[in-house]
Amino acid sequence: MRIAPELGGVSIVMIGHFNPSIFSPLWFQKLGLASENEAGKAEIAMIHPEITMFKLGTKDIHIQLGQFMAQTSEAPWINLSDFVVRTFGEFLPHTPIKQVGINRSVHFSVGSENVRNQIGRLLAPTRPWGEWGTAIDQSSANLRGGVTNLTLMLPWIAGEFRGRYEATVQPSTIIAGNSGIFINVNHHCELVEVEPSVSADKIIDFLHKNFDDSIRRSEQIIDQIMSLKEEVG
Amino acid sequence: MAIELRKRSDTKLSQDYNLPIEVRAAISHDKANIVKQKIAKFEIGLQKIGVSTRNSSADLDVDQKLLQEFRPVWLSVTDAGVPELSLQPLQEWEGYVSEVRENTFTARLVDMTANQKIEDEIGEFSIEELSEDNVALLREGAVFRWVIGYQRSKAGTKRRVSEIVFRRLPAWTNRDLAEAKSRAISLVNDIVWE
Repeated sequence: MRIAPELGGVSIVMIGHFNPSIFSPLWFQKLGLASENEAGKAEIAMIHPEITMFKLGTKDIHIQLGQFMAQTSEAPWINLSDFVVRTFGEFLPHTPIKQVGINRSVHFSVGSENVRNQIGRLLAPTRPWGEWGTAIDQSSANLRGGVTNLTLMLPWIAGEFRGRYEATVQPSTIIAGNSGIFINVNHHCELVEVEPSVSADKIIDFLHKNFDDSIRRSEQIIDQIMSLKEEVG
Repeated sequence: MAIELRKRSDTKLSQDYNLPIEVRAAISHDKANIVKQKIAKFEIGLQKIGVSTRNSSADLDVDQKLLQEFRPVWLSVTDAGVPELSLQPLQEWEGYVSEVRENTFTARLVDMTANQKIEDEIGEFSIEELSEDNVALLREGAVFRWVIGYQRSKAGTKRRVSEIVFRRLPAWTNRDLAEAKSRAISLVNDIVWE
């Protein structure tokens, strides 16, 4: 990416049926998926039959009955994928999993609010909005009218899987000075046909084989948005 | 001790999206006749601070009275929005350990940033630079990722770092073995014997 992000991360979110109470730092340590050091320093927020949440090493783990999520803000991202693939590929292969989302998000600075506004106008011109668009152009700097959320989506289908890439651009709420842009790219994958006896293997296999490429593709999309800084500058 | 999870039915919405979800849970329990409350809040969204998105809902599960009456006593580990540490990669290699010596190890490297597929670089690394957790995983044949990037702390410090993290690689699955067997059969069938 041509601009080094100020912040960012990767998350893997899976939809299916999970048993939150079985997951704990100690459980992951026993399976060899976390070190003794990581398990010992884990921050447990909650372990409950309906929701389990804890921080284990560089990973945040959130599990609900219908959803499993692991996220990290520390590269290398592949370690997150290895962690999820081993958890469900080796130790919980009969878990019914129907969908997976690989999310790459970044907050990056474009240097000034003026540049960010110009990028916003490139992405969503105000002219097609007529008088209201003119009002947005003329609104005072303090009020900050303009793009708050823009999402583009590209569906795909390949063999037994289908899904979409969905890229969302927003003003960053973290970078100071109103000069930051936030982008999240969601690479969604689901089974075309969900059999009643669905297990984890197909979705986990997809994740294992596509994670690096998914991150690369997402970063290409993010890089394209970053390139707009050069265009308006 | 009775534990009750306060959850409204519309929290099911969160399960319809495969996007990051921030969850604050609610527990009330009665211990020694003192009712303690922990406040619940479910937030669904892309960013963790106050931007309304298609998937966000500010108050899916907040009992506003409880929220006013009791200060939250439990916070999600990601609650603050900005992580304690963040490492954003500038350059990344995958390495395969070819030799381990007393103080160093040698590895063959694939440049992942350049999307290369074959190992065309060799590097020698000091074992001292590895964390304790990673020293435990160091052995010939082990696979690691080497990342050079910017590490930022929540306090605002930023520094360029080099980080080696060994992979805990997934084992071969039955599906992998079946595909490998299928490819092997295909290759054998493609051989033309003269």
